[in-house]
Amino acid sequence: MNEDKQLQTYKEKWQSVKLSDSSRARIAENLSSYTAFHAVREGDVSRSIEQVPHSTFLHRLKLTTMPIAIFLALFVTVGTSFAAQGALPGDFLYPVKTEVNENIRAALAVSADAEADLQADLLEERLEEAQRLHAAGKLRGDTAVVVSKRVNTQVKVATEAAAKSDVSVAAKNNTRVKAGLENFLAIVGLDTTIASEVSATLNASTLSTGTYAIGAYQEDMNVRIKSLKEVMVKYQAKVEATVYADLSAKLDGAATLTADAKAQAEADARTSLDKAATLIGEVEAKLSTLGQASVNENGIITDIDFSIDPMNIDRGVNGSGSVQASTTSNKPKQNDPRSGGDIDINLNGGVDTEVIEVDIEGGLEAVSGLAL
Amino acid sequence: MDQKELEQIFQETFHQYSDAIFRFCIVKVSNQPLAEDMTQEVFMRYWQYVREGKEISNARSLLYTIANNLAKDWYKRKKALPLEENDGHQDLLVSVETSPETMAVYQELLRVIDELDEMDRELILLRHVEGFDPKDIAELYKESPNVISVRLNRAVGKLKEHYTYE
Repeated sequence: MNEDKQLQTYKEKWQSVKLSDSSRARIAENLSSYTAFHAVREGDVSRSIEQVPHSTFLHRLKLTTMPIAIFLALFVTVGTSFAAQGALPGDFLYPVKTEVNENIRAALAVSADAEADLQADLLEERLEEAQRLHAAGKLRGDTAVVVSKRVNTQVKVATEAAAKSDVSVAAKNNTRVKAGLENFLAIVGLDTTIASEVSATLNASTLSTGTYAIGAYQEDMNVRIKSLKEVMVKYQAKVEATVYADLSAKLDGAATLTADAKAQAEADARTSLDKAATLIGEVEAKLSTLGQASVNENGIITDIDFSIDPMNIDRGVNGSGSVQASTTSNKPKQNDPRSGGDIDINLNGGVDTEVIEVDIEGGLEAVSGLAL
Repeated sequence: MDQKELEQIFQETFHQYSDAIFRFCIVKVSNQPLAEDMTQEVFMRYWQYVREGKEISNARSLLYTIANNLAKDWYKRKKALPLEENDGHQDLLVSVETSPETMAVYQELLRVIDELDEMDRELILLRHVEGFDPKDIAELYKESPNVISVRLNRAVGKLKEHYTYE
C-alpha cells in the first residue's frame, strides 16, 4: 500500500469532520447574542474573561434577575398547568388540573348559564378520564372508588348549576349530562371486572339527573310566574282591563300546569311544563309591547317601564308619569347627560318623583336657555 | 473600530476557523457534544480579547491557544473526579442527530488516534490536516521547532503503522 496515499486518505477523512449545520447555526446564534450583550467597551479591561457570564437570550433582552424569576415562574406555572390538562386520576399533575386549572375556568365563567355549561363540560371531562382509565385497564380498586366519587360529585354540581341557569341551557345541559352518563355506562358496563360501585353510582346519578331536570324546569316556571304576577299587580292600573284579564288567565293556566307536573310521570310532566312555558312566553311577549321590560340575569321580567314605549305609540296611552315614577326612580334621568343634574335639583328642590317628566323637560329648557 | 465592524470581523473569523477548532477539540476530548461546546467557548473567549481592544496579530494561533488551555482545564477537572474511569481509552460520544456516516468516520479516525498518544494526534492534525508550519506548532506548545519536527516524523510513522483503510 502506498504510504503517502495512506496519509492522504487520513487527512481527507479529517477534513470531512466538520460542525454539523445545525450545531454551527446554534453556536453562531449563541455567539451573536454573546457579542451583542458583551459589547465593546474600549480601554476597559477591568473584567477578566472568567467573570463574564455566558450569554443566554435573556441576557440579550437585558432583563435583570427579578423579571427573569417572574418570567420563569410564570412560564413554569403556565407550562405545568398546560401539561396537567391531560392528566388522569392518579397522575402526579392531576391535582393541578382539578384544583388549579378548573378553578380558574370556574372563576372565568361568570354568568349562571356559563357556569352551567362549564360544569357540564367538567362532568364530560370526568367521564372521559374514567373512560381513558378504563381503556388503559386502570379503572379498578382505589382508583375506581375515587373516580366514581368524583363523577358523582360532578353530577351534583352540574345539575345544581343547571338549575340556576336559563331553562333552555338547563335542558340542554341536563340532556348532555344524561347522555354522557349513559354513554359511559354503555362502555364501562360491558366490562365485568370494573368495580360495580362505579355503575351503581352512575345509575343512581342518572336517575337523580332525570328527576332533577324536571325539578329545575318546574322551579324555573314557578319563579317566572311569580315574578310576572308581581309585575302585573303592580301595574294593574296601567293595563287595559281586558288585556289584564287575558294575561292573568294565562299565568294562572301556567301555574296550574306547573303544579300538575309535580304529580306526573317524567314525560307528561315535561309536556305540561312545556305548555306552561308557552303560556308564560305569551304573557312576557305581551308585556314587552306595553313598556320597556327590565330583565334579570335569568331572563325573567322583573319590571316594566311604561314611560318608554317600545312600540313608539303616543305616551298618553300609558297615563301620567305618576305611576311609573314610583318604581323606575329617576335613574334614567341621571344617566342622561343632557338633563344636567344641578339644574334638575334647583328646579325641583328635591326628589319628587311625581314631576320627573316635567323635570327633564324643564331641565332641558333651562339648559337651552342658558346656552342662548 | 465600532461594535458593528468588530462583530462582522468576528463572524468571519468564526466561519473561517470554527471547523478547524472543532476538529482540534474533538481530537482533544473524543466527544462530539463536548467539542461543540468547547468550540463555542473558544470563540466567546476570543471575543473577550477582541472587545477589550487587545492587539491580535494572529487570530488563528490565538484561537488554538485558547482551545489548548480550555482542554487543559477540562483534563484537570476530569482527573479530579475520583470515580472517573481513566484507563486512557475514551469512548467516542456523539450527539443523537449525527448521521451514521459521520459516526463511522469519527470512529475510524479516533480508533487510530487511540493508538497514538495525545501529542502525536494533535501534531498530525495541525501539521497535515490544518497545514500549520512546525514553527507555529512549536509556538503553541512552547517547544522548539526542532523538537516538533522530530515528534511529527515519529508520529506519522506510527500512524502509517496503525492506519489501514478499507
